[in-house]
Amino acid sequence: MEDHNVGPLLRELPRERAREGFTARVVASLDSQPPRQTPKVWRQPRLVFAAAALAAVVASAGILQVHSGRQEEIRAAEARKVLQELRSEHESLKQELRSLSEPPVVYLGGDEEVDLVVDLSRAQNANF
Amino acid sequence: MDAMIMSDAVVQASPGSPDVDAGLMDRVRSGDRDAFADLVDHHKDAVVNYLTRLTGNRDRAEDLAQETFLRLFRSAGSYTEQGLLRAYLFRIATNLVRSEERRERRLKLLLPFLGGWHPAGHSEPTAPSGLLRRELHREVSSAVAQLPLRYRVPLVLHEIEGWTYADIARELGCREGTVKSRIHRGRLHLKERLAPYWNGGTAWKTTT
Repeated sequence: MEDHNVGPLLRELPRERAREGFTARVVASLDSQPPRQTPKVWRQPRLVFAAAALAAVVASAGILQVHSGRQEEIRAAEARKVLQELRSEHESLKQELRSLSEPPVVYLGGDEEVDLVVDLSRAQNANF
Repeated sequence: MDAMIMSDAVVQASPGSPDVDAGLMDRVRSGDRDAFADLVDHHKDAVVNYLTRLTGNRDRAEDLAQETFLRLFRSAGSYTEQGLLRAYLFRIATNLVRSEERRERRLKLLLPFLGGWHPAGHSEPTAPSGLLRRELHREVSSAVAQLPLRYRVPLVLHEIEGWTYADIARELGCREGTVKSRIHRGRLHLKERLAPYWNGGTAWKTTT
């Protein structure tokens, strides 16, 4: 038998047809099958990946925004603290300077009723 | 003559109108069972015939054809019109046959332990009946069904369904040269198996 004789032999085979009632049996068997599931988003790998990437970007942006806001608040608080310290120090220095600018009063002694002091500011002007 | 037979086979094998199938599949996706029934009506004979040639067993082919259409319905939501619906059905059918034969091969390994179990499959040639042509058809069908699947599928698609080498290559995801090679090897296998019948040999077996 030649090789090419196989082809006609195969094509001579009678074409089979579905038996009567085939379609009805197939449709009827749909009821016994599990319900057809519509493709869920999470079954689409590309969609899942895209959603995850987007979420990551949004989350990163949110974290950065929060982080930078806190940093500014911290810096502002520190600045206010430093300013307060400077003002306090300025006041104390002013008082000290004021006190230094006034002539001193020297305490010489005294008792319960009288205190003997020398007001040097007056002493400066005195002629001894 | 051969060319006429081939062209007839091609015409017979021509799938349904893609537009009609696409419209019906749209409706099937939304659960329209009438549309699904129409699709089944349109393609059932082709699928049953294809599976009968692949399996060599008419009853098994009908069961597998039913499963093929059920799988089409279940996968309708993810089906995209990338080609002809009939090709998609044939692909499902081929995969079903492949899966079943793998199962049978595994079960055969257990055969010594099962004792008396015989896998459903190809019929043994019986004593010659009065209608030799019908007997020859049975032998040819059985011989085809016993080919390795990688030769059987392209051979059936080309010789029986009338597909071109290009169509088969595209469907199987291989080169045309590979398709031609497999078809040639399939023919050689058939030649060997059917030679006794052509040479008037005594390959008939009697049932006991």
